[in-house]
Amino acid sequence: MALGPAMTLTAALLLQSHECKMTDSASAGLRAEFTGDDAEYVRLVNLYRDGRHEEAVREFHNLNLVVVERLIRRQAPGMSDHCLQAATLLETELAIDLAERSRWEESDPLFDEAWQISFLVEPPVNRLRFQRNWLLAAGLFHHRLIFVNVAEEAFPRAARFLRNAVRLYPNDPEMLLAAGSLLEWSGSLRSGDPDHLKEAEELYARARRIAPSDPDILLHHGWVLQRLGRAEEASAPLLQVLELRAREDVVYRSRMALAGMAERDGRLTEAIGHYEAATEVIPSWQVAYLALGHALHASGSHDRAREVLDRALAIPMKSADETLGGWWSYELGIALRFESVLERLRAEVMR
Amino acid sequence: MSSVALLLLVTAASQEPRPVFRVSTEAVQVDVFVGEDGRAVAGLGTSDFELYDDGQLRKVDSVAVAEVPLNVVLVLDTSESVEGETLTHLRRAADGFLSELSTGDRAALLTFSHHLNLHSPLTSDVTLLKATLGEIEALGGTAWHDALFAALEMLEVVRERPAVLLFTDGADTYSWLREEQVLSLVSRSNAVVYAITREEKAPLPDLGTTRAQERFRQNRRERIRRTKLLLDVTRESGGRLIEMGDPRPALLGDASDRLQEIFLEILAEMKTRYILTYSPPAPVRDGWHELEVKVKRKGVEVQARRGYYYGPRP
Repeated sequence: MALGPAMTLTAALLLQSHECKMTDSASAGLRAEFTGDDAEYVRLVNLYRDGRHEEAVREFHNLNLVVVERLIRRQAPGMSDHCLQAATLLETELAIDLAERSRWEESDPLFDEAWQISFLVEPPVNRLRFQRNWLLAAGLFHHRLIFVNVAEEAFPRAARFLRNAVRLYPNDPEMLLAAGSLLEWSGSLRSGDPDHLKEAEELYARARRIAPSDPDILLHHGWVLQRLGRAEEASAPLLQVLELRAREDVVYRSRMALAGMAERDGRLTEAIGHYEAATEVIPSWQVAYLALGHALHASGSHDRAREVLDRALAIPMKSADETLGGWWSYELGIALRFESVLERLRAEVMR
Repeated sequence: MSSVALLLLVTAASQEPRPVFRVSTEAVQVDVFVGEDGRAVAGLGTSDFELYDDGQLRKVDSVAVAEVPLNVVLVLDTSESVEGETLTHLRRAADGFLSELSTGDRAALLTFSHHLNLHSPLTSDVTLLKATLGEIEALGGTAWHDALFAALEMLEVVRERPAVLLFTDGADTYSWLREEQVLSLVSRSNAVVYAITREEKAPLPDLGTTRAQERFRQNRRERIRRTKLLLDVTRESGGRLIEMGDPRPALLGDASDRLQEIFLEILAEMKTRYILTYSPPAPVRDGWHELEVKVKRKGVEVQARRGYYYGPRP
């Protein structure tokens, strides 16, 4: 590491280790207006920065929030960069806690407040980086909520965050993938909006231009093109995945998509080849065996079909249960990344 | 509307499990249920039936009933939605069904959620089958398309009364096989499929909020789609779909205690089906053959398969 950046990092860490105070940029007048709640708020921000997230959020829930409103209106003494980020996250985690209990009327304003606090973060380069991750986390959080049976409430919120994220960060492949994945989910539903599928395809296509060798983007683009009935275009990104060092589940999914298209097109030998390859990539996932069995059945290879079916039925439940999340990870989109994005945000404000 | 069921069989000594016809050794078996006012009509003979193959009247050579043993795969939904009381009723219903099997009958137990679980292949060992019922637990999604494929594939090698009893309480959320593939499989299989699912005609319960009502309506629309597919599947095979009240106590009152009664009703119907045998004149044309079975008696309902494929599959 060069000396310059090393010194900057050390300085940043030193600064980060400081205790948050509401005096950093306060005028004497504002300092005079300090209340007990202000002090309590700062204590909770520090508690959060100490890694005691749940405790801080629980106590924050009971706090008079006038101090936050004043902070947003810049009528409260300022705090340093990391403290403001921590304040944003404290607000966000309370919003998350409430949204998880479907208390949308309470969680929505808190997400908005958190976003507003984030604008106080300085310098702008830090603010942009922080806001990027925050928007991604908020979008992914609501995306993930869709799968706990609150889709009607969670989808529009996830879409709002992720569409905003794409507007603000139009060339960020991870944002494009996240937004695309959400819209792909919605567009693929029987009762969903087919335009969402087209919008997802456009986002993936843009992401692919920016990150042409990202296996997740290639898989999703291939998959959505296939769903749009554009099989010829779908094959290229899926075949490209097979040439990359991609994760097993991405390769498996690509094989399954290629096989499904070939089967629908009557190219059974090709379909069988891809299904067989999928069983070899992840032998403990049952679905490829069932699909292979069906393709063999359709091709007239009944003995082989039964043999493959026997193998499918020999896979114990425990194994399938363990891998359920993996198989469903496609439907979950990249919503599963929410935890890691939040952890990343938390780590940056730790002292 | 009557559903239809037919069984194709090669009477030659060949071990080939598929209904591949050979000149002078081929025969077609048609599995038929005849009912009147919801009850099985017994005592019918060859002269009581009229069988049309592609519109041509064919002579029924023989009629068999009780002497043909049953080979039934119980295909039971054990997804998360059946957890609790429904699962208890389901176990009890399956247990009761197995207890009423006759000597020589065989059954298999296949459960499904997002995963297919074969607890027992076809066996006449009722004690063993009953013991496996204790292994069932409810969790995960619903993949009844894939499960039905597995059951039909298991029955491919069975010559005598292949049948499926399918119970599902939710829309398919997990299968690889699409609806049209399932229907195609059923039309090419010898098995008669009976299915049990939730009744969708019950009045809309008061769920309080508009959103909850809309969610309920959306779910219901999805379930109606599922019911339509089940209806098509059972009709195609010559079986029957039975709809019962919503088995989830929280919604419409518990109707799953009717499961045992329904399982036994289906078993009784399976056992009283007629097996008609006839010989189509050679050469038999390749492709789809439309079948129609009539009974020379007024007011009876006939369930038989709508047709069969002969020769290489399209």
